[in-house]
Amino acid sequence: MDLLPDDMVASIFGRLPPCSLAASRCVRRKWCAIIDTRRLLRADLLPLRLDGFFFLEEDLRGGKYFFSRPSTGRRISGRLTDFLPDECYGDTMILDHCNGLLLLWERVANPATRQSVHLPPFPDPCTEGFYPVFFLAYDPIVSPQHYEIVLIPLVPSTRIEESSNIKFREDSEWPPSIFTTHVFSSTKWRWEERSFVREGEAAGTIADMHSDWQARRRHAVYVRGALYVHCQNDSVMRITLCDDK
Amino acid sequence: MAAPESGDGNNGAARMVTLISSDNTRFEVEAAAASLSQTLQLTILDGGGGGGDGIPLPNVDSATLSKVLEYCIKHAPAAANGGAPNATAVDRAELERFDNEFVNIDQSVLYSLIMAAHNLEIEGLQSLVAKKVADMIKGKSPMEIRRTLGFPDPTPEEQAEMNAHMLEYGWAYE
Repeated sequence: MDLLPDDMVASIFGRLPPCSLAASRCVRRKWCAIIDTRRLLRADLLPLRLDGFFFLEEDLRGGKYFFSRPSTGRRISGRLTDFLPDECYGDTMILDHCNGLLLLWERVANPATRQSVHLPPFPDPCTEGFYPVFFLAYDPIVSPQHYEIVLIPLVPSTRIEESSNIKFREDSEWPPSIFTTHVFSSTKWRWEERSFVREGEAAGTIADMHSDWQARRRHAVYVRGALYVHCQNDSVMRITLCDDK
Repeated sequence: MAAPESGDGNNGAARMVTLISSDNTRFEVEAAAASLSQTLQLTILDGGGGGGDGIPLPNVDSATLSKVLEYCIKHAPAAANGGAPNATAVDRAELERFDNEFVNIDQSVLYSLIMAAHNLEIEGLQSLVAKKVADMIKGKSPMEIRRTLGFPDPTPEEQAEMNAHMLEYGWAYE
């Protein structure tokens, strides 16, 4: 097989489904080069399977239950304490999840690979008094090693005092036309302040948001490079991480 | 692919050509069968390979050439019919059975065939052998592929590299 010309090897690879190409890529360096230089692997066609899911309780105890098929359960660990280091014992609340990756407090964990990594300290929101919620953006098809975390500030439940030294008033638009927040990038391995330009109308004013402040009800979905966040006032904010909109 | 003379010529006898393997074995075969090779077809069209001349094939040994010709002789009638659009289902099933049996061979023979099909540009045989190797790879993990194809066990360095690659798309085939 080593003696075959690259063209012949490539014509063999041309007959493989994406998942077998993904496996072949790991077999030898030369094969990886053939597959990559000819762009044979269409990662977007790789099958994403549901191998398991967590059921999270909404109460303060934050109970979580993991469900998986017996065949995958051996591989994927739903018991986070099995592979998290001892130091984070007791702090395994799942803040968010995205395509198989879990976001815990200052930690990202992958139950499929039983790996976890400690992150730099989570920042406070850019605006004082706002409550931070963190969302994970991860797409293994686009970039299996890379993920981002976005801090979405929640408008507090109490009225903003006219005298307080912050840039929003009760009748300010929310989200503002330039929305500045903290984003963590795993490639740069640091939190950065990033500003996103609002494309549509504001969802409302600061005053509209007060009543709906509970952090635990917040969810977001990450699809095709865009994070859709269920915001206060039941609006949905789309954040496109690649072009800051 | 239409053969130049498909065997029912005026003199009633099929035109024959001689092919000479790298180890100097001579194979006499119908021109129609040898013409499945794009490389040979031009020479044969020019009238080469007949009589005592023979066409030398310095890249193909006799064992491989005999196997290649077995394929060509079996497939020549269907090829003469222009890819066999009017072949019966029975004919097609018979060819398929032949093909499956044909590639049920040692890997070393398979690789020689891949090289020969490539050098002689025999389209059908190229697809057949490529498909065979692809089938050996399908549905397997990287380690299983290595074992199936008889690659030596990875060195620690290669293993580390494999592990790094598996982190990327490992979820797709595990």
